[in-house]
Amino acid sequence: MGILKDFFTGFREGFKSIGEFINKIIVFIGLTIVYFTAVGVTCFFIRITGKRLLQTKRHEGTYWVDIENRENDIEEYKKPF
Amino acid sequence: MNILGISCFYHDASATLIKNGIVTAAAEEERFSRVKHDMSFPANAIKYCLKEGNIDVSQLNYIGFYEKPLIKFERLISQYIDTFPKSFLAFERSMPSWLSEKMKVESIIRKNLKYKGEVLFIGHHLSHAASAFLVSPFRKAALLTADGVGEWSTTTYGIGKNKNIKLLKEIRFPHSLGLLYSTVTAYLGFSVNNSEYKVMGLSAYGQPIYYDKFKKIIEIKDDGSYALDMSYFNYHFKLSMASRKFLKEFGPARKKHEPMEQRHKDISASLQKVTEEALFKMLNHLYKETKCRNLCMAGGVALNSVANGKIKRNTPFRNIWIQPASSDAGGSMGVAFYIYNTILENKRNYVLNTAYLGPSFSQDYIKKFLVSGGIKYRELENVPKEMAKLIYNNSVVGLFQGRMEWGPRALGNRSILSNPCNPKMKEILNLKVKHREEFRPFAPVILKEYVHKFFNIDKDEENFMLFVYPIKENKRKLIPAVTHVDGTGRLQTISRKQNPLYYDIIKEFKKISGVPLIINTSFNIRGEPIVCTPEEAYKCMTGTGIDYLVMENFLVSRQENKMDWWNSEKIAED
Repeated sequence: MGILKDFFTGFREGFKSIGEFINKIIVFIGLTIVYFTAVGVTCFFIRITGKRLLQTKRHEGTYWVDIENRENDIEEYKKPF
Repeated sequence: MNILGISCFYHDASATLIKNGIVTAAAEEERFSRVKHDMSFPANAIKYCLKEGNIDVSQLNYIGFYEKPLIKFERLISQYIDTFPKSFLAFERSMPSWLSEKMKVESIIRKNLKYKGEVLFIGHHLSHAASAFLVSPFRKAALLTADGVGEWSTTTYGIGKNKNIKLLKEIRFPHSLGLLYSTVTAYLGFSVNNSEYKVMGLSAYGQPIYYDKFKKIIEIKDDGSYALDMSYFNYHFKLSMASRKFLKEFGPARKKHEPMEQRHKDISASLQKVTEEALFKMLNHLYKETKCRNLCMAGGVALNSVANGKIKRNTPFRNIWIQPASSDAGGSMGVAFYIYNTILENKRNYVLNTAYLGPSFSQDYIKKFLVSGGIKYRELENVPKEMAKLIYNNSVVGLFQGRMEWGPRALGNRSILSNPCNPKMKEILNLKVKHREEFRPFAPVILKEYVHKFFNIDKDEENFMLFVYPIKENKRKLIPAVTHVDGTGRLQTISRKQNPLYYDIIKEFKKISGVPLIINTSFNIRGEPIVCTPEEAYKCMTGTGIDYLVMENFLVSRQENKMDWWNSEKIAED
């Protein structure tokens, strides 16, 4: 019984590891597709319009940016955005 | 009314429970999980808070989270789009955790806690600001928060009045004073979000000869606003921090175990100088905008105790209050108070004047642990007197009592104490116990009434060890073990009201030595969180060179018990 139990435990763990490995590959492939389609295409259009999402250029004047303070309404804080 | 604040999923996960606007319990998850700077969902810290508050989840009126996760996600996606295709690896690495947990904060909270009430999300820097102002003694204060990055903000300033906070301006990612400091931390071979304080300690050994080079990297305007030249950095699209251009400018990066050269010390000194310049310019501008002499600060940059100690000399601010858990851990406290005071408009009725907010263990519990473990111990009749004697005789003594500290500093309840007058004590502590880099200083704790005799200090007390001050020249030789190379010390003052046993130990030490201060360092070894339980304290003693452990009134001697059954040096990591 003990040998059988060990065998099935090992078998299950082995399969679990294989499953996790396959999962990683699928996630990698999926994210690669998303990256080069969604992220890449968005980047392409944004660059065409000459916009930048990160402001990296130096300029005259202050670097302080105004903060838009939201209303102190509890509903505003229920949103994770 | 019961409110639970939570911070997690970046670094320093924590939980805070407030009942009717008063802190019942607050703790970092790392103390329970034993994973330093643990970022995971703080299930253990929450469990402890609820137990301490003697309530269950159903009795919580609100749970607050310290960030707006989807705005942070938007910033990340913006980074990846803006730096496409260089951001590929960072995207691949970060997305799984975002998709599996960081985007689902609310459902994770509900699922883990079986919670059915309201979950509120407060912005990262707003939580920082609240963690400083709403628990400060001030009714009106200028506010500054600065860290690596929250959602988009990296630095913000504003004003707090009564129970309201208004953040006025911000510096936005990728420009970040915190990330500049972290980049140099990584460049010098230390771990990011962990070892920035080592760079600060190292800076005292160098000369700021790289200052001009740093000024090429960061442009600081007269109003304290700043911008980084991003060609020196990789962190906005890669997992590494410094770019090739940075390495070309400053030379090759130091690897973890390589010796520390003078060049590294000079780079640290230059970074510290430029950080202080930016900070003081910001603060002077903030004063002009607010005309308020009270200042509250939070965020990782506010843990720069060297800069903090110079604020009064370089700005018009006269009263300064800094959240002791100023890193992301403090966010859980901030969000809880923001909900209670600002959103629900309840009156402020609490000032955070103690850091003893964590778990405690009764005499009975400790005794049972000692007896069941077959540990030899004896009960002390006069703990302060006997401990002072041991310290005076150059023993290294662990002190475990009362509630664990909130924040990164041990302040007398989970502390290792030793003799500051012994010139070799720093070496002894570093080699036998802490396994720390030799350049790092040890901090003094002094009886409050003697602070002006030993330090050039611009206030009467410093409760949380957040400020570095010069030690008076005529005292430096008397306390060599706590005098840093530049003649300063990061001190804690203590009064009897705050912590009677801790105070009495130092008082007894003064009777024998004439010196009203001792060394206080955190009860842990390098790379491990501060001990939480008696079991962890005992284990720490047996694997290190701590000679004695005092737990409440029980004295355990290392010599009389099983020792060296594990080697702390082997696991002492960054």
